[in-house]
Amino acid sequence: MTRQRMFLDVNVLEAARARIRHVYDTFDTVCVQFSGGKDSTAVLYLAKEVHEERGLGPVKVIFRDEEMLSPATVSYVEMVRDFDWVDMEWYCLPYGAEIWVLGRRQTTILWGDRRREEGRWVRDMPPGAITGYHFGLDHSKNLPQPLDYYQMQGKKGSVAFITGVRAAESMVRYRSLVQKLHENYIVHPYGLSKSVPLKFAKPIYDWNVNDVFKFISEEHGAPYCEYYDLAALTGSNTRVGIPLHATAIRRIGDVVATEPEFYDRLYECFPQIDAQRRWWPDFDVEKLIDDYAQDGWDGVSEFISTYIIGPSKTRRAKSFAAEFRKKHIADPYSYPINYLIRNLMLSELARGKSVSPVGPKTRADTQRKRELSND
Amino acid sequence: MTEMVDVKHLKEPSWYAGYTLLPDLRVLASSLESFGQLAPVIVHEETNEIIDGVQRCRLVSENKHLREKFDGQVEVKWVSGITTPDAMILHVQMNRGRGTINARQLSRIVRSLRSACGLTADDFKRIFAMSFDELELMLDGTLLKHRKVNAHSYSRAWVPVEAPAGTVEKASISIEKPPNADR
Repeated sequence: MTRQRMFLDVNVLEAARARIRHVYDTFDTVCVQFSGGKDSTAVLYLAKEVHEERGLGPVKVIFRDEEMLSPATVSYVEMVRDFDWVDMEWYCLPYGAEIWVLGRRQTTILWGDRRREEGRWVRDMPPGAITGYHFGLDHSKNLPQPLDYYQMQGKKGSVAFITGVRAAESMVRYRSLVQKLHENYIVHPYGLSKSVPLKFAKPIYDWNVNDVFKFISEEHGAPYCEYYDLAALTGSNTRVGIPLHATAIRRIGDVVATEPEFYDRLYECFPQIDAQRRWWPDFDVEKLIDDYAQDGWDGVSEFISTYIIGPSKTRRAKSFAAEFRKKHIADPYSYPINYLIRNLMLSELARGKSVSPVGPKTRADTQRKRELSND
Repeated sequence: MTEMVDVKHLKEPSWYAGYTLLPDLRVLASSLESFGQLAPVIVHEETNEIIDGVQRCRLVSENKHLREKFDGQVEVKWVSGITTPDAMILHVQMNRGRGTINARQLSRIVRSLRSACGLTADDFKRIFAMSFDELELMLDGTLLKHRKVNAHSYSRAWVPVEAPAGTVEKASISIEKPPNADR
């Protein structure tokens, strides 16, 4: 038996409308988790439909401001905030965000005190924002609890945050959406204590990009973030969000092409990123991985001390490497050292990230097979 | 022929479509500081609008060291007997050749040339080496048109099931990819 997709005799819009009504029927408090992107815009308008049908008043919206937002995204979110049918909570909370430059990883605290004192906030904090100080926390270090914990404070009963997550965005998201068979689109947030009565609802999980834009433009004639038109003009990717983490910064040229003034501000705050813009197309990731991998565990230690910056990230990298080493000893071919270095350099090193073996048809898997055939 | 002109007499045009990133601007400032002005600024004589060299003029006007070094003057090559649309075309041609152009502003120029001068697709191909697809994008400039959203029909909904292979309609998931390579 395998996990598969069974197609229904309804289109994605009808299905999403049924799912979101079910969410409103099931939970005491429902909020839209809005990012300014196209997908959360679609769920915002789906929620608006339910509120109008049922006379529920303004839609409760949660916006997590990640500081490094492009000017087009900020203007769009401000416009949505001012709609009379939207009741938005705008959060500016201090938490760690990664700056990845040519393999070197370091963390900065979003809306952090130190950068504010140095005049290196990417933009001013909007007036009326909910900050760490509202929870008795200062902005000098990362939040002690997951973000969702703070965002659901004050919400009554069982709470659902509706998100615009879609399966087609990535294989990880697809897998997360086929894991459960019943109510596959309603899940408990990863890393949050089970005692917290919060669920994520993902009613548009089976939509594609054109479904999203068709719904926004044709069903509601609604505006969307100007960034998408800039992306179309410049052939850039259609994603809004923090542009400096390990995956996003590899497309920093998209920022330069779409909103060069935004790139300049990022450069003023984090001058090291210019090396990424200038050299990424010529940067040989594979050679770097091989160079460290051929020195075995000494290479791993050296990689961590050279490329991972800051005590918490270094701790996390060392703990990940120690876990990996145990698995490598038991099964060296499924857990090769170059795969560890690849993970340390390119993958998200989230708290509690588990060690997994080389996946089929990946670059590491191809290399492993080549080595096996040479043996 | 070129002449030295006070930068205050020159105007930055509203249709300026270039953009120099801050780190590159600093390099340009350093080069002016070390080697002086090696190429003239191109200016439309009838309007005093800068066709090429806006960043150099900004630096000479706003950077104290450079203003003192050049006495607030830049070397100018005047271009006369052309219209404003001609100046816009020349500006785009010079910057497009170097690959430093702001897409949003270019789209505005293309739309303005189309409406004010009635330029055709062939004209755009000849003057800017612009393909029909690129021209269409510049004229419309929206993602909706680009993705042909109005011709799209909503996809079919699905749910996950546990079933033996071959017992349900087969369709592999298509993961969305960026339209271009990393850059």
